[in-house]
Amino acid sequence: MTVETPRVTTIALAIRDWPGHRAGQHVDVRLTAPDGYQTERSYSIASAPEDADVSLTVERLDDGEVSPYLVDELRPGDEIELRGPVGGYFAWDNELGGPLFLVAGGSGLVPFRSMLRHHRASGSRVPVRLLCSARSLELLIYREELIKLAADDLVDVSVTLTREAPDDWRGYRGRIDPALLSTTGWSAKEEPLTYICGPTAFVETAAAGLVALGHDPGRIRTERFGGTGV
Amino acid sequence: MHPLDGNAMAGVMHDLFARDMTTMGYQCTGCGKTGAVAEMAVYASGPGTVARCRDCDTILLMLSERRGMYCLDAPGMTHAILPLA
Repeated sequence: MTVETPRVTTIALAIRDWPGHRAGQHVDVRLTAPDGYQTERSYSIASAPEDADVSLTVERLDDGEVSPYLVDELRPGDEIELRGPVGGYFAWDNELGGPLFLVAGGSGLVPFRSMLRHHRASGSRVPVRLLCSARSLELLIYREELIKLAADDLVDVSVTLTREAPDDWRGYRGRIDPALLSTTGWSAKEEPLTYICGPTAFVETAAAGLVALGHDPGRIRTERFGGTGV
Repeated sequence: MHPLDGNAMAGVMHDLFARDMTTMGYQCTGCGKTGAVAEMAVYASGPGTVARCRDCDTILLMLSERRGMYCLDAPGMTHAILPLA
């Protein structure tokens, strides 16, 4: 288990008979209470198909039914019940091409870690631009991995911090808007394939902004979750 | 509360239809919009799950579960679910 931020943990899973997954797919985690009450939530897979382990990155929601258990209570060696991999809509393989624009709000970065690792592991030549929005640098997950990924000539990483930024911060500040999407992404005439993942309001803002910039809605795929932190 | 989207129903829909349903297309009976199942507006915080059309709010489908039995009603998706073009 790897602590990403005080609220976010990455959990590596040893799964018997895992059939393999596509980058961007998720799994459902089901918890059963001693009285038989069951509840389940969906989590994006953070690892690439090529990685040895399947890992999930989970943000603890204070009013959540599953995430507080996964982040605070789960210990190495514990068993959990999973269903998956599921979801083919928000998946990307090298064969789908690009250019790729990935827009992440908070822990919406999780499926993109899988896609970017797949991009590297498969030797993809698809150019990628990633825009991440986080409240602060401390709350940006995968910081060190993002720095390494950005060393690839084909991968361009932009970060915007919405609440606080270090004095010497050279990235972007403030919430995403059409101007930032235009600066950090591709122009509409380059016909990018766009994936947007984050809390619902973030996804709506990003998708509407791109459509207003003339992007084809049919090339924009979205995934919304009930998290916080943009 | 903000709705999620059809991706959140991928697991249970896969169990019920034995295939990935998020990439399937549908046509809303309310406004005629066509889209992918993944794009539906999904309200999952109640006792059941309700999926609505993102454009006109028509209820596309409702799903509830009790003791391992699922009940699926699709008032707004009366057309057969179509493969997405």
